Amino acid sequence: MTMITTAFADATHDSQICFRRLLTAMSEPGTRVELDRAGHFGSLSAGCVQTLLTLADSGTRVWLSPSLSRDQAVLDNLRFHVAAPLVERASDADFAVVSQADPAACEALLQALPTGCEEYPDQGATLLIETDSLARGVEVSLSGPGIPDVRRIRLGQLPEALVRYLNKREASFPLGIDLMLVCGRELVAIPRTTRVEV
Amino acid sequence: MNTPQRKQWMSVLARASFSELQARWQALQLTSDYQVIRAPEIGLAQVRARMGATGRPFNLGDVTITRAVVRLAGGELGYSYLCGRHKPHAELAALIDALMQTRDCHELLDKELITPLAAIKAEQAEGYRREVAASKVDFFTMVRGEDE
Repeated sequence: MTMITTAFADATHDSQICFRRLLTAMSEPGTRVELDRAGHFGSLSAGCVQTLLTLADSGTRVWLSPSLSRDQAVLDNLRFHVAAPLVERASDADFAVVSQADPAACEALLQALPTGCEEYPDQGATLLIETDSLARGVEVSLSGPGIPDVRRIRLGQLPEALVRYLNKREASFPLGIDLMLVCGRELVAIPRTTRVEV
Repeated sequence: MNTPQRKQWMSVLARASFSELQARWQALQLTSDYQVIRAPEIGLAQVRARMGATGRPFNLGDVTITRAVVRLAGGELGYSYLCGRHKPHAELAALIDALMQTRDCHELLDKELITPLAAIKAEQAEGYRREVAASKVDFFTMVRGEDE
């Protein structure tokens, strides 16, 4: 029996609403947005599901962390609703999703994800990381475009490799990866332009 | 599940006229709880053909296609794909496809809905074949004796 469940009830308008909120999150880094137009797929959180439903399609390759790629409900639903090709190697990915259950996957992943090239910086990957909270845990200060002064936010329990990566992100703009931290339906984005101090 | 059988009933549901399908469906007075997994949506498919059924394939043109997927409370998924842009038809066909997979409704639907609709379809096809056959012209040449 397949595990396919419902996604957006009204695909056109729901994805437009989610797109607008994701745009807010990306253009005002550190702002928490809520995505509430669809539920979760198996162990994949509602926030990640809606981000993928909105941004990914048959032309974007998606990499899933080990525990997600073993979950049949996640695979069936992503194939059915998103139709994105799922890739084995992170270096081929346009979107990468890391579950809370796989903090160890971050280290190798951050090395492998494509950051784009000078001619096509848009080919840098977008990394979605599930976290336990966006109100407690690791505190970071964000500054840069889209932030008036400094914005201080908390990102929950993060994998150590990610904290190290954020703290000394190479100043290689316009290359880089864009980060989205997801807790349930809530999401915070840290695009490649943002300077992070942990 | 038996795939050839399911193919056959999906084909019947897709090709039946909506008014016939709806009339028979309403007469059965079945109610069922279902979720729409993929709301009816319209798209295009390219039709390929071969000249005289033996030549090289070429693109004949595009047809509009409507598809839908529903899910019953018991987990059965019903699919439908049909030519044209009739969304209620696609949703109803998907629902009947799902119900055909349940033990409770299969026989009733098969007897009251699929079989009669298949008979109508076969009759129409037969009528068309007769109409074509009636206007068939066989060409032949008289021997005129030049070859002797």
